[in-house]
Amino acid sequence: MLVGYPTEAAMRPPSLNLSRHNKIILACALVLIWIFIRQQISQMDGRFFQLSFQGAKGLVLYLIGDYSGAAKAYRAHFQEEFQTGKTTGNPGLDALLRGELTAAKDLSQKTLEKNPEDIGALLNLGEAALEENDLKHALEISDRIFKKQTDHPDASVLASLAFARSGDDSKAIDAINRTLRRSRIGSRLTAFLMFLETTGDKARLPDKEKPLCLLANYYRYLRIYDESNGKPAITYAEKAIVAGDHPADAYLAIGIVHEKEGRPEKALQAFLKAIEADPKQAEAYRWAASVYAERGGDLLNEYRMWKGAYEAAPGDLLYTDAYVQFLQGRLGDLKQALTITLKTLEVQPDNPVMLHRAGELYQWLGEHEQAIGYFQKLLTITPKDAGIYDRLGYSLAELKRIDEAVTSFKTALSLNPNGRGSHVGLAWIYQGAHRFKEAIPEYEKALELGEDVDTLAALCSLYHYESQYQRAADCFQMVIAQDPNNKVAINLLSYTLKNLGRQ
Amino acid sequence: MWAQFQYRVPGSFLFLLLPVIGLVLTVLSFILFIKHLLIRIPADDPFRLTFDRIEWWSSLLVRIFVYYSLLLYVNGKLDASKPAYRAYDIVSVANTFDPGLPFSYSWVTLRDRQAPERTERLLLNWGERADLWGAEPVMVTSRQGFLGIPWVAAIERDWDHYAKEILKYAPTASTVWKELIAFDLTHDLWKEGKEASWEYLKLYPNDYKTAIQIGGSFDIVFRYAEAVPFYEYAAARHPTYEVSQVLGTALSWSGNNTRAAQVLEASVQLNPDYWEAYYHLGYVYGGMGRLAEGIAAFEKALERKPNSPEMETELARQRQALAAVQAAKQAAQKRQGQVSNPSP
Repeated sequence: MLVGYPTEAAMRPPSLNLSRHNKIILACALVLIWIFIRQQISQMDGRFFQLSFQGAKGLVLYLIGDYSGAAKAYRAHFQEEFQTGKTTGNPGLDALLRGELTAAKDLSQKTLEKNPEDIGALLNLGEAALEENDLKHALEISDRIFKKQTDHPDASVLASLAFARSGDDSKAIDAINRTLRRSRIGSRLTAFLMFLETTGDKARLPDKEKPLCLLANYYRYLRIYDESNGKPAITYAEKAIVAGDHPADAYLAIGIVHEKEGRPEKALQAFLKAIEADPKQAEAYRWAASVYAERGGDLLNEYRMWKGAYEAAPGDLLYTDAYVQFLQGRLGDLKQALTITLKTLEVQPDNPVMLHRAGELYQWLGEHEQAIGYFQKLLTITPKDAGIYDRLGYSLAELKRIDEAVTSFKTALSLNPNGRGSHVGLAWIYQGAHRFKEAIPEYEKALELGEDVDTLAALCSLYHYESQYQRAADCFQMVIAQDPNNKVAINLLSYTLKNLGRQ
Repeated sequence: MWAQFQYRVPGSFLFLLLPVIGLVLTVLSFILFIKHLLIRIPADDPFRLTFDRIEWWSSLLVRIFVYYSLLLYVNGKLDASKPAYRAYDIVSVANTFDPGLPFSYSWVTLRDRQAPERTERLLLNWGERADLWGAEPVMVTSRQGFLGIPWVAAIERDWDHYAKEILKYAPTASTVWKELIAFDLTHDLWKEGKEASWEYLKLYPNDYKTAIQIGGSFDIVFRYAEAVPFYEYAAARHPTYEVSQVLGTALSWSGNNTRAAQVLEASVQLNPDYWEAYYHLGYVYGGMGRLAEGIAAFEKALERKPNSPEMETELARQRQALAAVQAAKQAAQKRQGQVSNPSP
């Protein structure tokens, strides 16, 4: 062997001196750790991963459960990032992210002087107030936003944090539930960091001082960004139930986490317990109704739940509209739906959703004059809505005001050339007037825009009436293949075949 | 397996058989694998002989299962028997069970509503799995079977029972009424269906479209006389040319040609330029023996819709019939003349 050359053993990469048995155990452990980390990371929102020392610190602190520490680290990261020129497009928000509260307030005030309706600027002021612990001002601002937009998600988060910091847990829970009930979440990074920090602060309190139900609901909110928060949400909720801390809200939080994690029957049990704990817990009724709807259409129980939600919060438009929608669309209880709609319109006469419902309901009830009145009122609020022109056209046609109906459908098409309903409406009018040559292309266009077996059957019948028997026969065959019991096809096909000399 | 779902047989036999088949298939797969490894072992080796014996018996069982499934297929596919309906309540819907076959399956336990002590267990097909839930009232459709093996064609919600429960709480629920009517009219509950239909129309008197649809449900099963009152109802509230045509046709098919002619003649006034009323009148007059009027009606219809072999055929047939009638009349008159003339 030549002196100076390394030996073969020395060339081998350094290795742990483990037995074969231990190496296998180590490999398995590493694989398991990798699977666990991958699983944990895959369900986390991208905002948790920031490429900087502070960002990495934030992630580590978050993963070990120190949410307030994580929030501070992330805030430091964004401070650096926005100081080097990064922008959100909102100068006030940029200043907040840089940690310059005075600048943020000045910029937002200036924006509000130009446009007092600017919600972004209002939120900047609200968050600045929260940072300065001026909770009263923060709540005043959130109220101002709610007057413009009910349940505005960022304003709801702001209000919830202000209430939580002032120790009013009930209102804090209510505010966060208002954000979540419309399946919307706050969009602002600043609010998210404050939320994370508040959750961490509250979780670090001594056990006797912990707001258990509030924590359950805050973890439930954070579950949207990281599914692993579902577990602490349930744990805190269970503790809250035992402690008698807002048990109905706690059951609701448990139910929602179960539902989101694919355990509908457990979720339903929790919602029913929430209702038992507080029969005015409208949100639990709403969630229970959705579980009943999904398990094969349990209409009777679904009805009980929607009714319960409406009766628990009769002035809340979310539950009123959901109940009316259920009555109209699923149960077909047009009379009850109309009664509730008209009652709501007495309080909010220009509410576009309720005006639309009233128009539709009168239309379904065959009272077209009233329906037209509501649709026309709606057009003064939303004049560019093609769907309303379609509805109007339908009622005008039913009243035999054919020219007006055609104009209405054509106006709808000028607003939305791909409106399937407008083409079907025109075809239907032309068919009724035996103007089949004009009806056929309208049906054909409607079918290009979306398949529907009844529209196809109507088109086939027109081919038959226009003596295009072979085309009609082929067309009816297609209808029967899709819907073997289609009455139009079954009835007319035999006559079509007779005309083709096949019967 | 598909045949077992599609043409399922009630009883516990299947629930004993399926796990066994699953087990046998697993054993067969295992044996095939082992045999591949033991390829060099002599054929008379006791180990190999045992494996061969197990394989033979397993294969036999699988073959019996396949033939039994084929038998069920023939029994169901060629079955033309009338469906029988029986009301049940769901006791439980079992979770999916995986017997080791390429399919998983789940089943439902049902309690007979007429005899609550009796329970049945049935396999669920794919469509039924998502729709059924515990305590739901269901109607089971069974058939006699081409080979005399009774089988279950469908398990569906018993709207006749369920709708009535809902209507106790929401008596004006139109969708529920319509489901009830549609269910009754497709499950031999004609009287109940008619009663429900009139109840519904009392609640929603402007809904002439549903009245027409109900009429159509009777028409499609050739119960024209029962369709007529619903079309009459629609015509009274929405007197259009189209409604008159369906009413006139149903009246004619139910044997009331006189009233059919009145309705269709009146509809001509609504749109004299359209062919359809003349077309129906052609048949109605023909059926009443008013052949000259029938011919005139078809001629008018053909003027308005020239290319119609069906009408041309019917017109030719009526002209021929009229000619035959006239010839017969002339012959009769001739005979009468011969008889009445006194012989010189």
